[in-house]
Amino acid sequence: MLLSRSTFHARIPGWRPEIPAGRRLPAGVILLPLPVMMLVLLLLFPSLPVQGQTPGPTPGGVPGEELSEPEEKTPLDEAERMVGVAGETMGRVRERLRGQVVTLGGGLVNTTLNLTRDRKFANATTPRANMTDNGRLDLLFTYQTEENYLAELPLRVGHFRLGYNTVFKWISFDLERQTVRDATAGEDLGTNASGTMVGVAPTLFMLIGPLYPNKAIYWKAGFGAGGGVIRYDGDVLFSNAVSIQTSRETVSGRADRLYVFIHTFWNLEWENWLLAFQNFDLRGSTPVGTFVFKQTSISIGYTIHF
Amino acid sequence: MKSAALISGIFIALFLSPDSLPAVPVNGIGLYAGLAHHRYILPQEAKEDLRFTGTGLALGADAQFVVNDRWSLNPALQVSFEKTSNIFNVPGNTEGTVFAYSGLFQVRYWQGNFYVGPLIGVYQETFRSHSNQVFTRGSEGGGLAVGWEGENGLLINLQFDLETPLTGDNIRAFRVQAGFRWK
Repeated sequence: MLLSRSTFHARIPGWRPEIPAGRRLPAGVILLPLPVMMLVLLLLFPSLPVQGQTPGPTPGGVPGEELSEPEEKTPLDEAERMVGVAGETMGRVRERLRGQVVTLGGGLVNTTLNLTRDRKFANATTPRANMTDNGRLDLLFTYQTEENYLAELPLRVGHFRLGYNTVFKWISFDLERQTVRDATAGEDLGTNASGTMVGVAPTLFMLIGPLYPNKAIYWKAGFGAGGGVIRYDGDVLFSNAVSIQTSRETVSGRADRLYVFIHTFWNLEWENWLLAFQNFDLRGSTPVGTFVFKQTSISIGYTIHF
Repeated sequence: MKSAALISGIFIALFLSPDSLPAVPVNGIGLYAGLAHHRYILPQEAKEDLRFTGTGLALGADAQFVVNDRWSLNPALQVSFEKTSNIFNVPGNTEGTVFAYSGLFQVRYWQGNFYVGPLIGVYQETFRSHSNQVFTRGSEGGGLAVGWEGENGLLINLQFDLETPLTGDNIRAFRVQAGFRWK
């Protein structure tokens, strides 16, 4: 059954509707240490000024006038009050973050940065430099906003849902291999390119599950297109089908404009664990040529659902 | 490949048989193992295409989400560990290994215990020569699977894949696998 247009922007509260309560918000585990840390700090440094503390008698008071003695507050009282404030703040933060997802993981990652020295359509004579890491184990970080559902179809168990959200990706890379001419594998030529990429993409996904009643096993796949920025520096050898440079050339790209950022993903989610295939692609032109940054990965991650 | 087509033909004939059992698919996780065979053609800019084959152990897992008695949705993860013929077309460097992995999404149409279904997916391969040269490639692709699943959970799956190739690569694969589904 498709959702009607009137419910087009309806949000289903919580993480996912079918997931049993109690498995939803491990974020509390992360936020809980905050007030405890504040309590410890206050016990260690009881003389720290605290906002809202009752001021003592002013030095310029009227002589002979008996000032009422302010109620004595022990560091423990202040600590309790601070814990209360921290708890309230934590609640507000949690409410604001509700539905958002952070994924931390690691896996087999292949990153490439292909540069050309020509802004026109590249051909066999275009000088190019293809940097790669040949694939390696690396860490991954992804942030997603709350899922919103456009349509749903009931299955025998669970639902098939079409939805959207926004994905934020941060990638740091260090590529020390280069493929020259016909080479399929990157070689160590003393060249390198390193930098950082940040991309944000509104994403359309399909979500199926849960697989079993009362067990949060979902499959989710989708596609997103948005904008991203990149910064890279390196020393590379440009070559084409005819010739190859004999000395390295310094290249750099700066995050001074927004480029096209595309990502696709395939996730199997089992409770808070995630098996993911991901592809990220950022491409554009610079004053001296073009660049294509790509990262593909298969990874295992842990998702924190706020 | 001919024997693969023959086996698949037998499955399709059984699938079309009016005597197929009136069983229905069920939700569950399936695990399977078998044999995978790849044929790789990787174009090169200024010289002959790289052509080689790989054969080895295939492992897979899927989650079966049943829509109704006739249809199910099956996302799957498949990997294979293969020995290959000459990866880099270098004399004396005759063999290598390939670790191939793919994330797939399949729509199955059921006729009793038999199914047939198209699939799409993302594919990646990491090649390693004996001289330890390594490279990784990836692309989107699709294919077709036929198979059988019994009420006791046993399953057989035959699958063809064609990795398409925005890059110009041409990679075809065949898998024959048997396994079990936990309901």
